[in-house]
Amino acid sequence: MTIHFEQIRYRYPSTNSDTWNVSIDSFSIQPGEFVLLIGSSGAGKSTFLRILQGLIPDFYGGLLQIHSLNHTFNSGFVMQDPEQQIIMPDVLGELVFGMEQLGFSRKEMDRRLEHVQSWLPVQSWQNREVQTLSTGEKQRLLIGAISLTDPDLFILDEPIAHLDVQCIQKLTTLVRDWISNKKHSLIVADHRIEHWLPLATRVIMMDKGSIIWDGSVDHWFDFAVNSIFWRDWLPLTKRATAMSITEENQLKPKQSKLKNKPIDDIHINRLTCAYENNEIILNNIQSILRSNSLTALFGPNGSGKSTFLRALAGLITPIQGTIQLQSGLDLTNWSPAERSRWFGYVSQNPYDHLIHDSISKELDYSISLMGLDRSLEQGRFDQICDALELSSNILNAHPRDLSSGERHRAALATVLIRRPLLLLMDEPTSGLSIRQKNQFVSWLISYRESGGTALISSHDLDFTAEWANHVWLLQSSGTRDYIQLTEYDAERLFKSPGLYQSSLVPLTGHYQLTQAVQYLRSQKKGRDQQ
Amino acid sequence: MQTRGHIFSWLVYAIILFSLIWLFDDLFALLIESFLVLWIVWRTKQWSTIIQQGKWMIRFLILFSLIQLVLRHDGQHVLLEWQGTITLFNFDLNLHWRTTMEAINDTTISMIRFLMFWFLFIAIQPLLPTKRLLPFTAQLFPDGTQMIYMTLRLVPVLRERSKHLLDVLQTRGFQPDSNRTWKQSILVRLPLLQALLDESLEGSWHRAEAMIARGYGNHKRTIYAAEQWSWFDLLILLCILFSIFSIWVPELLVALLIPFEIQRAYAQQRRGV
Repeated sequence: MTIHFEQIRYRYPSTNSDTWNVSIDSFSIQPGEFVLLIGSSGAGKSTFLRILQGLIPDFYGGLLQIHSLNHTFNSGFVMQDPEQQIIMPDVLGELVFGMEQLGFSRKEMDRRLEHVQSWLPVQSWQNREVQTLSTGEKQRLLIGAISLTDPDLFILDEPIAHLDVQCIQKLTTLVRDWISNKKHSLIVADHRIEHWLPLATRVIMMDKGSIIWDGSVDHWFDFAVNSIFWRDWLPLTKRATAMSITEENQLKPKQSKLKNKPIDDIHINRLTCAYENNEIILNNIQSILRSNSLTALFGPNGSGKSTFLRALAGLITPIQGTIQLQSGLDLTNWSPAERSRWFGYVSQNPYDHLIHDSISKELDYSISLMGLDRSLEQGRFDQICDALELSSNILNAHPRDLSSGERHRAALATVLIRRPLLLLMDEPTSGLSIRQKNQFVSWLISYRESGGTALISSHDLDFTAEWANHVWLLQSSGTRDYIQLTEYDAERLFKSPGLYQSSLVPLTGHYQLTQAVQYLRSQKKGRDQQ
Repeated sequence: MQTRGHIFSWLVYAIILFSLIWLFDDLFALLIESFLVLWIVWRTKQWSTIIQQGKWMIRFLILFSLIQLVLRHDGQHVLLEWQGTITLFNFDLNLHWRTTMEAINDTTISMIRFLMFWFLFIAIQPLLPTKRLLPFTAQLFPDGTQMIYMTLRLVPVLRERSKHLLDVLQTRGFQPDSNRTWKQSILVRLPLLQALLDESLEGSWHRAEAMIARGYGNHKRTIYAAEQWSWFDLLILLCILFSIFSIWVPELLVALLIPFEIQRAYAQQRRGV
């Protein structure tokens, strides 16, 4: 069924009466069509998707004007934050919730549950409490639950933000099934477009609530390559091509004014952590976090990346093992507050850092927690705001009124204002646009140049390939049921696709990615030498 | 724990028992109520939870009983009486302590009732699991059940969020154990509470959105694990009828057959008037 809307106009209750938050003249989607919706944070993508789903204006008020040519399509919507969409306490209840609402028979539900096995291990998960799932696993569960209801239109808002690459591959296979039978349509809003472009049939670009581009993927490539502004939206391999044409290096880092003595190497000896029920999650982790390096932490969903970072930050007490500086100073029994003298921990959820009603107050509070006088630290305050582009509008805003990218930057600022020597970051780029990620990469490289060390967990290989010196991989041991850490040199890893492919991820086109990274690095090196 | 019996039977059973304990407090009724409550505890094997929580509950019960004994002065059979004046900070306080047999009797009954409430509350939880109960009630009261869905998820989410917020705050240099007055401690934690409140409101909002987006409120809904009637429901029904007949019927008979004056005189005698 073709879904068609015309004259979509919407304004939030708090918006001026002469402005529309979404203003789209016409939108239609055919069965079997896959529309990739892109645009920077705050462009109106999520609002538009909520209009399509029918949640606006019921939940948000405001004024909606819309002319729909068909009212009877079913749609399945997965929103950004998986945590806030889970309804039932157990996995099976969550999976069948949608089917129950639509009146499916038990027999039909069982049949569909069988079919979704390729995406979700229903048998092994069905009795689990949802609280025991990682964020990525929750996202997987929600996508599975939506797919079971077999809607005419799938609406996915950043569905892969927390998924590991293997899960993303499974999802793309699932999506291929959805669109191949010409029964379903799909609209995906995402910043990590490299995973979707091979499948998408159409790209729609949004800016300030309006559609500014609507066309085929190939046409969009041509458009983006020739556009200075939208070139950053190209996936890395294509971006390399574009850069070779213009001989312009977008990734050149800013020069930082910070000059710190780097922290010593950190020796992690036989670190073993367990859940409250004594189930071991990290076993005998042995490694050295090199001084003044940027280390990427990879691992499948639920492999214990967050646990590892929290253990290093002092939030989890290991049942065995030590964390020591090279000088011999043992940090194992230091509290998180004591470690905060040198370590900065950035949580996966920016709201964990934003508890005051404005960003400015939040930064003031960070300064006060250091025992410093805010009035004497204006320089420190301004420096961070400049480095992370926190304008006065952002500083005075409530955290919940900010866009995703702004919120991430604000959360980062609350940590960086302490000038930590080691940064522990848990998926810092989920929800960021490609432009924001590039800015983040620039900042990260300058942080290292100024003496910083960082350990960053991520699922985003594209992002990681641009900055990592070392790669740590957390994965299940082959013979035992716990997680172990393997260490790789990033240069060597990205140069040897065989190793990359077998040990990390079977990523389609990864060799192109590797080549592109090499190309970018050689370009930069050549320019630096000149 | 998957228990036998239709969820509706257990729901009615729980409501009836709560009502009985609430309404009837004479010794015979308590005996029947206790028997039925203990049957549920035996069925659900919740002794370990009761023992675990017991040390706190016993302290609470002792405090509760002492307060009741201090406040109750009525009754004819006086066991202990003292009246006098105590001077405290230049103030004369006239005190009257009077402990009667009736007060002890009522306090004991209250304690047993309280214990039964507590036992029932713990024991009934495995019999009314949310994943069985809510799909059932959603058919009867969709709006009310939607609220329950949102509230139930709110509790574990808030618990987890408050832990995360406090954790991250510590990594920013906040020391929860440092020496502070209680006033300072509250002031320091106020932003956390505010953030949690914001989060809970937003979380409930998004959960409601997700429910509607997934078709909640559809009148033709089905239930995956549909409840089955079995012979066990007959047993539960018999228990309900037994409790009603054994407790309500004698009370009703007394109310209908015995003249009102005699009932009033008996009640006054019990109160020691």
